[in-house]
Amino acid sequence: MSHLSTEALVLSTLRLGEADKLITFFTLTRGKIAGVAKGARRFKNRFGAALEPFTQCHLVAFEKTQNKLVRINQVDILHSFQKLRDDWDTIELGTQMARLVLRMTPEEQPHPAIYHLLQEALAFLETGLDRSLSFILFMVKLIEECGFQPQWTICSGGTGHGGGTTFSHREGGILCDRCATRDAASVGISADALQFLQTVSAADFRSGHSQSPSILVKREVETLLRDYITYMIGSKKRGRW
Amino acid sequence: MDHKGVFEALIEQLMQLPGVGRKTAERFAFFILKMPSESAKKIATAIIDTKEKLFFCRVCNNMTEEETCRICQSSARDHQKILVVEEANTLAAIEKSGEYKGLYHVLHGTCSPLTDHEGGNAAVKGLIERVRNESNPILEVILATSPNIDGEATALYITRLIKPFGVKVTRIACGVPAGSDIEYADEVTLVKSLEGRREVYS
Ligand SMILES: [Zn+2]
Ligand SMILES: [Zn+2]
Repeated sequence: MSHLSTEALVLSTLRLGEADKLITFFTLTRGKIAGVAKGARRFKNRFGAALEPFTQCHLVAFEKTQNKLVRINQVDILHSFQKLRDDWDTIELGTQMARLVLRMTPEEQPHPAIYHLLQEALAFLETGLDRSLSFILFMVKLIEECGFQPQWTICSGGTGHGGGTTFSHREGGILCDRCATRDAASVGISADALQFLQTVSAADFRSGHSQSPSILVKREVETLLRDYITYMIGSKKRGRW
Repeated sequence: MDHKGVFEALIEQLMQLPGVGRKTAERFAFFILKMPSESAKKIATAIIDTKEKLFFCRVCNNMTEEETCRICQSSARDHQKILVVEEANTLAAIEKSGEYKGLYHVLHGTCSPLTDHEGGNAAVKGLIERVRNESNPILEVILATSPNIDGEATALYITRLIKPFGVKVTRIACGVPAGSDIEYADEVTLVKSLEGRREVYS
């Protein structure tokens, strides 16, 4: 039985058995791991509010060799992100962020950049002014970190054409007028949306917030990214994970 | 079916219960095997009776043997208050305290973006119908869902839906558990208990 001690973000919690919880964390040093918190649902338990989703904590756990699940020993809150849980909209957006990380990352593969991205995105949700922009930027950066970076600048038709008018999930990028027929399922993309995506792809998550896209552009980009992610992770429910 | 088949079937059925794995189911099955016929029959009859004679109240979703539960029917209760709980066992616990005299509404689940739990949604519709019904005006809806993210989300969701009807919506207090030492409370619990503080009268 080896010992695990790391910073972590709580992605999800499920009821397990009579009084336990099954928690999935994204940890700084070990990536996504799941663990059992014994007695965590009892009225008086040693975990308190530390295992609520979004919580940034320090996690101490024991690893069982025959079992993938770790046994959670101690959890100390570093930042609770409690404000996110006091508002339906931030619960919804935060949950979707956590769910995306849950769905898009493999188990036990360290990926500190994703850890820091999620932490920063939750912080922006908590204090930021434009939550829907934060959510869009989070999707853009998570897609990149997961290795699904779409081609936003030149046509993915492979012919070296510049520019694009449609976006193809299958080709993972934009297609120009001439190549659009290559993928009948490709969807139209406006010049403004494309411009926005090119700009924020070149920027990091934080500096992407200096952009102020119109509501229409945000709506278009959000739908496009949701559908692309749905395609990439093979989810049956469109735009829900 | 041979002996092993009968026994195996029992184990499999017991494993349907929440929190019961193979090991526990086997333990239960051996226990049942050894217990007097009479006692075993009582368990079986109680299960069948539960399914045949118990219903969910058509008003509040509480367990009942009639169409409407005893609480909803009682004239001794305050029919202007509704206390919303996730599960019927919470209702039973509150009833045991004897402190609450109003009515209930049982959700049988939560409605939160986290769980995709649709179970609570039909029950929430029922609650809105009750609040809307002008022949029996409701003055206060008390939300007693759990103080975790699912319970909070459910409370926020219900509040959003019923506030427009001009009903007073309250949330149960959340804070340091009675009988515990305050030094062991975590920061979230402490902040919540400060938010929910009240004036002390001498
Ligand atoms: Zn082309
Ligand atoms: Zn009733």
